[in-house]
Amino acid sequence: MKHLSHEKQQLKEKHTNLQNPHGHVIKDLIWFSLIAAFFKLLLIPAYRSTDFEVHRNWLALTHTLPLSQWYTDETSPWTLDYPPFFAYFERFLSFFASLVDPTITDLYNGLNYTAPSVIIFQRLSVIASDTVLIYAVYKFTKNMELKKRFLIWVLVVWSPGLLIVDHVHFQYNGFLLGILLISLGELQKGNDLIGGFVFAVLLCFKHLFAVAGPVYFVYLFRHYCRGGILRGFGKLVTMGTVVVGVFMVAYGPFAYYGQIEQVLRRMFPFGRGLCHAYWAPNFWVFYILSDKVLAFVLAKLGFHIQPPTASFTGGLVGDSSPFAVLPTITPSVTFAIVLLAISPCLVKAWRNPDPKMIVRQVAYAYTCGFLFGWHVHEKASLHFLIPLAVVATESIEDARHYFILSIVSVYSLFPLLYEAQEYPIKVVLLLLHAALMWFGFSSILKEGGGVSRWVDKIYLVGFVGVEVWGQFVHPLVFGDRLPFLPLMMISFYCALGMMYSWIWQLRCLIRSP
Amino acid sequence: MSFLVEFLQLSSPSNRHRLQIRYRLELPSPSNRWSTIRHNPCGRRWNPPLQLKQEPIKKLPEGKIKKKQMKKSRVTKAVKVEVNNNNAGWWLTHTGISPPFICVALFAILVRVAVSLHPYSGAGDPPKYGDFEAQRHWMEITTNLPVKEWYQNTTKNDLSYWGLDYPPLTAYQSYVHGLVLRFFYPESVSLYTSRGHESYFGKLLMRWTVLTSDILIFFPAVLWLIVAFADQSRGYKSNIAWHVAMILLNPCLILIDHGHFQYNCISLGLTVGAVAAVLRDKDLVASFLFSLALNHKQMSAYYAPAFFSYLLGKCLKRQNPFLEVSKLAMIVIGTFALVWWPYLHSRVTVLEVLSRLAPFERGLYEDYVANFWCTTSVLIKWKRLFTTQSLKLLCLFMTVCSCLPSMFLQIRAPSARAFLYGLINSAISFYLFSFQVHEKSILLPLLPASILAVEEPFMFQWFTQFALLSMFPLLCRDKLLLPYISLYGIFVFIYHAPNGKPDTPKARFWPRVLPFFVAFLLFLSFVLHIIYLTIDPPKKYPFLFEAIIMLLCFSQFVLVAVYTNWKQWSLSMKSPFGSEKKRV
Repeated sequence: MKHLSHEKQQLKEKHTNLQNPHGHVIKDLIWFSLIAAFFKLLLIPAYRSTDFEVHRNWLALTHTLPLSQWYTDETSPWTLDYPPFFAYFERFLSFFASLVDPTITDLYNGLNYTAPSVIIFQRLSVIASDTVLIYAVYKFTKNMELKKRFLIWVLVVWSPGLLIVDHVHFQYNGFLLGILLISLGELQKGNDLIGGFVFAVLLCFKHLFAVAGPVYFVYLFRHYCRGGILRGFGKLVTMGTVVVGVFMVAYGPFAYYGQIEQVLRRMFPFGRGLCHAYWAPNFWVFYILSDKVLAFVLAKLGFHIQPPTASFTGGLVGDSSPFAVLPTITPSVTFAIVLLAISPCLVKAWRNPDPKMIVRQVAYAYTCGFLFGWHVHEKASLHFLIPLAVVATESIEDARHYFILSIVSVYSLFPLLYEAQEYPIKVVLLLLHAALMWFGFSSILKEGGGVSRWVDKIYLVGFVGVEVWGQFVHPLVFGDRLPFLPLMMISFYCALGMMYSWIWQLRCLIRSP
Repeated sequence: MSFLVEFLQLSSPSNRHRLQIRYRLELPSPSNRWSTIRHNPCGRRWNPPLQLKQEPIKKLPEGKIKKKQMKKSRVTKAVKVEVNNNNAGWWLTHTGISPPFICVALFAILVRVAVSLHPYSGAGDPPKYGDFEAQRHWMEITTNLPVKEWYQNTTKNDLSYWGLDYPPLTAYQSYVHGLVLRFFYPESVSLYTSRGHESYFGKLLMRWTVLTSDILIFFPAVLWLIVAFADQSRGYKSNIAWHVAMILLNPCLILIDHGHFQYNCISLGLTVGAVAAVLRDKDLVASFLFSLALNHKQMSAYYAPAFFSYLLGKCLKRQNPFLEVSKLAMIVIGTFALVWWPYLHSRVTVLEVLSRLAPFERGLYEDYVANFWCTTSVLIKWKRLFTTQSLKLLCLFMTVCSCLPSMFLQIRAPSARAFLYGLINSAISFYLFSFQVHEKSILLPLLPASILAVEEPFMFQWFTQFALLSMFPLLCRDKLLLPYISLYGIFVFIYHAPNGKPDTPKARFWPRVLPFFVAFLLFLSFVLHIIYLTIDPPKKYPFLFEAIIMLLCFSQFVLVAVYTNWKQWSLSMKSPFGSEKKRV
């Protein structure tokens, strides 16, 4: 009897599946993301960084000032330094903000405004804008098998990195990464023109995504502009028109007011230092540390070492170098190194532009930008963490790599939430994420043993050591002295994992056909 | 009657997966325990009734199930079951006990931490503040005064300012937590000067004490319960994640403990432990744990009739009832003596503590609690008609009367399954009829309902929704509207998990009216929320909306009580006690 009813139901489901093959996927995904959204509501009163006030100020200035003054206004120190589409987006939000509470969009009275209305409004705007990410994930996963699909949702929609950065720290990365995923999804399907168009739009939202520009250019040039010289040229022109068109829409109004130079100066503030206040876990951590060690050793050996006067985090002060022994690094050097690091991937994309590889190639480009770039934020690791999530279920190797990378990346975000109140939140988020990945990957991937090998396990257990040292042992041993040491340890330890991820990705790309 | 039954049973008959629980505890003679069946292969094997024989083991008829990896121990290593079935909504649901439990528990902890970001009761509201200040004050008293003075009104201990009015185990718990607070932040528990202490770090430490109590007591108890359930039914495994989520993500408990601020997780956790012990047939452990629960919060007495009657009924069925009863009595008396030890040296001190535990001076009811007395007081002014003394007796009489049927059934034919219904019955009759009931007391009948969620999914979610509604005015006062909405949403969505959710209601009787009735009530409660938040009540009746909410909730609670009583009755009618007679 029960068996029969079960069969009946399966028949029914089959029938509905024929009518709308992705109906149940949409339903499940909506269910899944609504739970996430309701959880995000709980985080509304949590700590928020100055980025919250930054975005509030942008709401106010785009609402009150005419377009010509957006990039010149200096009422608040948090001036507009994102590309025009983001400014338009803030203008769009500010319309609703002024309806909710006019003080939010008041350029002067709204400064450092912290009423419940503004907090709830801005937090809700982030939660709502995540719809783009969810749509992108749907596009990516609708044809996958159920378990993989579900796991990818867990990795992207419940990404602790996004929760920490967007919903506690406060930023709008979710929807920007959503746009990137949409673009990648279109490329994967072979819709190169749409993919290129969406990427151009993304660049006009946040220019930091431009690191993958070369990869996009080479891939589209070789994959889209095929089919003989004439036809290829025609396609090149089409693509060029589309991209230029997007940039015209974004920058046109500012070009009209003759402000392009001002806009660009705002967007690329090279006055900043090589590293951010908290060193992002990248290559430069090793460089700085080896400089310190060399200086120490050489001084012991009797050489005269001039102690550096400038700091890595500040700007370039005159000609003085922040390094004692090793040569100074300038933005152009980092630029060259990033290009050099990306070049193997460009060669691959030139030789064999494969839609199946594009996600990995773009993620690799972001990894290079993260590891060798100038003044990199630790948040930038999300740029490759999220795209890699959609390919993480392809093989056991991918899963192993992603397991480590994800934990490293999320752990490197811990210093963002430095207050005691959020401490359990970030720890439990990471544990939950690790547990879900562990069980999820091991239930999906049957071949090739467990999710992590013993080397991985030792490395991951090391994180517990770093955390325990930073939180408990360090205050006991040193008290208030050497406050930067725990942060340095986190940077260093995470940088190891990041370097591993870079090498792994590079190897993976080189081995690909 | 049948209408009512269908109304509350709605989804259960066709609910394939969840009905697969079978309690082997329902044995013909209670002396013939299932434990003996499990451990003693030579023992007479009891033939289960026909209905139980066709236990639907095939949980996924099309699924190709193969065991890949043998488990080492049940809890630490999961059995890996590969299921080739596109219908399986969750990959989490098809592995052993520990993966779903770990994931859901971590999520539940995350939700609790996130709720604790929100305000607590009486935040920034001098001079009396709220429950948060009460708990903090107890820590202040217990860490600074000797044990004997905790319940005494002295110059150092002003009982009129949040004097201790819970049993000694709460006091010890406050003492331990007070020590933790004193270690990290001495100002927050210093005598006199810390009254009304409110600080960022103080709030965090207090929140973390609740969180750790929850993780250390409630969570392991739930794990034990789940293991006990899983041992008894094979089809249960696919529901573990859902069931754990229903128990651990119960919005009412989270909102009261981690939002409003209380330590219900301790007494409820001990009760869950006792229930698990009953299911595992460890009666002595059960009575020990339940005595501890009683000594943490006297409100746990709501469950006492169920525990008492079930354990008594079981003892009576044994060969030597007197010995069995005295064993249990020894455990209970021993536990009580242990907990009350510092106060046992004289009668005066015992009476002092006891008088603190029974706050009869606080009146028949407070605020607008959805129980019998408060609801009928709209028509009958009980407080004016009777003296407190006679009201006390009346309450006692009504409470005992309302839980007598359930007790009687248990003593006559104790069964573990009916025991779970009995827990709801006795707790809900206390809620409806006893003296001095608070809105928060609805947590007590809700807990056994959540344990029964696999079997009665619709009843449980219906009950939860109205329990939440009944606490809505209280939570609004605590400024917990945001977590209220959020937890409500999370609960409803997890309840309707894809492929884990109950099938659509199929009523045999009035098929069209029932869904309409359900939808209407849900709509009504939604509208009530909105009205309560947006519209000011008329000046003549300032508590009009509270009263309407109370009326609606009371009517639903009565429905639930009638249903669970009927269910317990029908279970014991079907009980093996009768079937054995037939076979003979």
